[in-house]
This record gives sequence, C-alpha cells and structure tokens, in this order.
Amino acid sequence: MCHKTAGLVANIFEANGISTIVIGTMQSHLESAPRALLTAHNDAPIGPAGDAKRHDEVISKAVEVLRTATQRTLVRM
Amino acid sequence: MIRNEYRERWARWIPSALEALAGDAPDFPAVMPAFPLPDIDRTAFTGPRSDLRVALVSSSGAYDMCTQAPFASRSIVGDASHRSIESALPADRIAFAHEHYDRSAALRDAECVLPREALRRAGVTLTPHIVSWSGYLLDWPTFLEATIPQMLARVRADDANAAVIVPI
Repeated sequence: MCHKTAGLVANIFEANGISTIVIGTMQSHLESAPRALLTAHNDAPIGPAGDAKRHDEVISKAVEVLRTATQRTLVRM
Repeated sequence: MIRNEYRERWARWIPSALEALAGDAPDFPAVMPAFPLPDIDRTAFTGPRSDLRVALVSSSGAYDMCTQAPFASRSIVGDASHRSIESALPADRIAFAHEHYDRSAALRDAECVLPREALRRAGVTLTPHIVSWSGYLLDWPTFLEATIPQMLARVRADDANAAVIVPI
C-alpha cells in the first residue's frame, strides 16, 4: 500500500510539473511511477543504517536519473 | 451537490474491507485485490532537470515529535493526513508513526528513509520542508482530494522543481 500511494503521489506531482523519482523496494508497485529506482534494502530504501557510502550511491543514481531521463524509466541498483 | 464516482466506488468496497481487516490476523489478500483505484493520468512525464531544487517526500510516517501529533498508524483504515517538517530539523526530533515496517533502521539513522545529507552531498538544493505521510492508508478518496493537493502546495511554495519520494 505504501508503494502504491507513492506512485499515486508521483504521478500527480508529475502532472503538475514536478519531476519525481520514487526510490523503493517493491518492483511491481514501482512500475507505475514516472521514474523509479529499485533497491534491495527492505525497510531502509536508501541503504542500511550508517552506510553513508551506499546512501551516496543510491542518491547519486537518483539525481542522475532526474537530470537525464527523457522517458518513464525504472532503474535497478 | 455533485456525485463523486471514485468515492462511491470506495464506499461500496470499505464495509467488506473493515470486516476482513478487523481481526487479530487481518486478511489483506481477501480484500486488497478489489481495492478501487482512482482514474488518474499515469502518463505524465516532465523533462530532465539540470538545476534541481528537490523536495524530500516520504511515506515513512515521519513527524516532529516535539510539535506534531503522530499519525494514527494503528487505525484499521490508516491515516490519510500528512506532516510538513523542517528539512533542518535535528534527527533526534524525528519520529516515525507507521506500523507496517520495521522502523529500527530508520530510528538508528534517519538517512535510510530521509536522505537529507546524501542529497546535499550530491550537490542538489534541498527545499526547506520534508513532506511525509504514513504509507498504510485505505482512505484514498481523502488522500486524493485533500492530502495530495496540500502536499503539492507545500512543495510548490518551497519552489521545488523535483521530488525524491521514498516509500516504505
């Protein structure tokens, strides 16, 4: 349900001119998002607690997708 | 008065859902496949952004424990409201009201779900407020009609042109 509501928010934001990327762990629910980043960290989508290096990797990829994607996309990490 | 087709569909669904979810072992598979979805535009896509002003948006149930009420996360229908908290709020003032995920990692390190520092290190401008909701919620009509427009208004008032959305 959480990922479904995130997809709803993302699509409505996008329709109102706000670029979005959803960073989550459930692929089936991310597929409805305009831009999505699939990670493998359940309950901590950005990465494990205290792992700043992994957080930076995930966020750098998210920013890259926001800056470059020209169509709806789902990226796996 | 005008009719609301989506709310009417949802109102027909909710009685059976309440019955199935009310026990000690909520039977989500029995009712969720029939959950009514709204008819929204699922094709919209903005272009790439080079100069990012990013709003951080999350379904983690984050709230300011000193000034805000927690979400009604134990409610059978969830909580369709939202909270807006300052992006600069110290991590030890952020709590998470959400019964449907293990919050231990987020409580040890809020960056797991609210990556404020990682966004700054990535060189983007973070807008002044984080917007959050508690992701388990069944009252989608209220979420759609009231909450999302309020969240969008907050993000726009902060002059964001992008949002990083972190569902849990």
